[in-house]
Amino acid sequence: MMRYFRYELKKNLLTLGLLTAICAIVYVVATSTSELFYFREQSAYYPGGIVVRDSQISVIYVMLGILCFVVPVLMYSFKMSRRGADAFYSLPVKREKLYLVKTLVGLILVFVPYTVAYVLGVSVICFRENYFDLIWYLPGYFGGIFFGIGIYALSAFAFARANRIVDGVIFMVFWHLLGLLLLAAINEAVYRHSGRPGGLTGETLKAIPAGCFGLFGSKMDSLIRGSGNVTFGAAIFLVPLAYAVAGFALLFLLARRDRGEDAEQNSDSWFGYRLMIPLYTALSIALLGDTFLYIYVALIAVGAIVLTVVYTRKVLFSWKYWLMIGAGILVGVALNLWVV
Amino acid sequence: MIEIAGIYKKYGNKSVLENVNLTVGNGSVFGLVGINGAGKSTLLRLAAGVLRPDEGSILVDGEPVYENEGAKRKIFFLPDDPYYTPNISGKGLADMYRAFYDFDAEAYGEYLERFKLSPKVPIRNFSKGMKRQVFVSLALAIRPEYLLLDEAFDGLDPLARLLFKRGLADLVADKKSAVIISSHSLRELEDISDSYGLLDHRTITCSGDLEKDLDKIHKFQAAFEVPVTREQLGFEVMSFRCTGRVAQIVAKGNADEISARLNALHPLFVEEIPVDFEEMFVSEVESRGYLQ
Repeated sequence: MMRYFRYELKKNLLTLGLLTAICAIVYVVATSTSELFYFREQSAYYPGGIVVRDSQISVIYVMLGILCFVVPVLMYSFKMSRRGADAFYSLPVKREKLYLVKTLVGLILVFVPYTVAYVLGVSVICFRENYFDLIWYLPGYFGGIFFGIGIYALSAFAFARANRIVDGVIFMVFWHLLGLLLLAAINEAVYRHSGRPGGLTGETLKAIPAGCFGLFGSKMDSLIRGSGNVTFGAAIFLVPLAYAVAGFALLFLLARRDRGEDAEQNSDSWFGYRLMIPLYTALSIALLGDTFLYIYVALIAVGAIVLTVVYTRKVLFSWKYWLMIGAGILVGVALNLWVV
Repeated sequence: MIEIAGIYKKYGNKSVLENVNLTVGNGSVFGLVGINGAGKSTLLRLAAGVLRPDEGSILVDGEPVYENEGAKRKIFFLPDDPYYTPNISGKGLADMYRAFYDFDAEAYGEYLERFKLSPKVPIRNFSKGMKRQVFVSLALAIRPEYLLLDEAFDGLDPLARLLFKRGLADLVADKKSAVIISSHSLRELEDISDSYGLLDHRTITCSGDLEKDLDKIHKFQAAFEVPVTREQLGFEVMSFRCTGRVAQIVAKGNADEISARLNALHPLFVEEIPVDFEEMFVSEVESRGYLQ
């Protein structure tokens, strides 16, 4: 397996160099051209003095997030063409090991560009006049790796459920937003009549790794800028950890069941459209809350139909798909009315 | 030895293979033939471990192939449309397979040289036949114990076919490899195969020693005073073609008996002409209701 790992790494060196160069250039440009602080004149409303600006840590975090979406597409799309499936599944390597090598090289493709860009960008900040607590860039770096692994695991699992690249990208979006919608629906059901805000709130972001990463990034920015007390809470670490463990476990467990004949076929996985179309339809309607209007229900139904067309690659799909959409609409309407 | 026993395979609800049984011994070349969509590629993909059979077993030297690294290390599968990444060159391809197989880099270089291919040029720049030549060189340089070739001669020019056939003959002679080749180029298959199997209606309907089975089939050409019909012959034929007063008849059985039956119809002349694999295949599929 080591020989295959070395080959796979060597094959991806050009991609690695390209991603590293892009990330490094973007982050170095961002850190070298942004305003790190400014002097404010004293006024009736504000005291005068130095105002510390954005730490720019969000720029590298956004790039890391993008890498965690793009790299799984590069690494696991081999199984989405018949030619790729024929080549890789006929090689003397088990599917789990194949996925393991692809995952390890994928993580290298994500974290090497991140690390190089982070070191260069933060070095630029260090050399410029600033009023940051620079020490916080260190935990900020490791935090990025922690959250990046959670996002990558979920992206890899979701993408690998598909039999075509376009389906894989849609599945990634599905899975990255699912927790958010589920928590928002629960939020809506519990708090709608209590006077507290229901539906999508800042708290619901904690249901998904990307949301947790965003919250972590804003807190790290506050720490670097030295602006006030910051508390993290366990949830923003535990949720990505759970996603990472579940994502990788399912990725490797389901790799055994990957079938060579599925390449280029409809993505029929229960972790894909089959589950997502009715679930998203129901949750979207449930989340309409007080704005429940049949025109919105119709628009959501149209969205579900469009997704079913993408899923089946047919405009005239069979009755079972209509049943799937209908079930989603009915459950959504029932949830919404029940919540009301 | 590759032993395929009682294989069933479905794609969704569509049955592709049913109760396929086949044994290919070491040191032999097996020609797999069948009309388009007969399931030849599926059978090879099953034998290569790409697909898992729904029922039945595929054993290589007594070991199941699917998800078995040891068994698969003995097999090299060259599909009809092989995989390569956009920028990969012949050298890059060798690097990939070197990670999995004991690879004879020298032999690979020699084959590429014989085919007049540069190992540094990206494969995407090659014509279909040249791409095939690269993969053929690769297959021969890996020198596997079991070589599975789908549409083996597709796109190869006559000279490349000759080189390839020589390479295969050397591989079988030197390493006692077993080769399964699916191809529609039956004249090429006849040159190198010692046994064959016809896939039809989802199963292997006839198989055996190619030379012996060719000996069992006879083709006669006869001219009659008036045109004759198939029914007038009075015996079962595999293929019958009549142009004017000249008829061509392909039938199984004893040549003398067939000749005697034809002579009973008082032809102007009767002669036996040699049958090749392609004619045997066409007659066989014709007798099964195709081309009627």
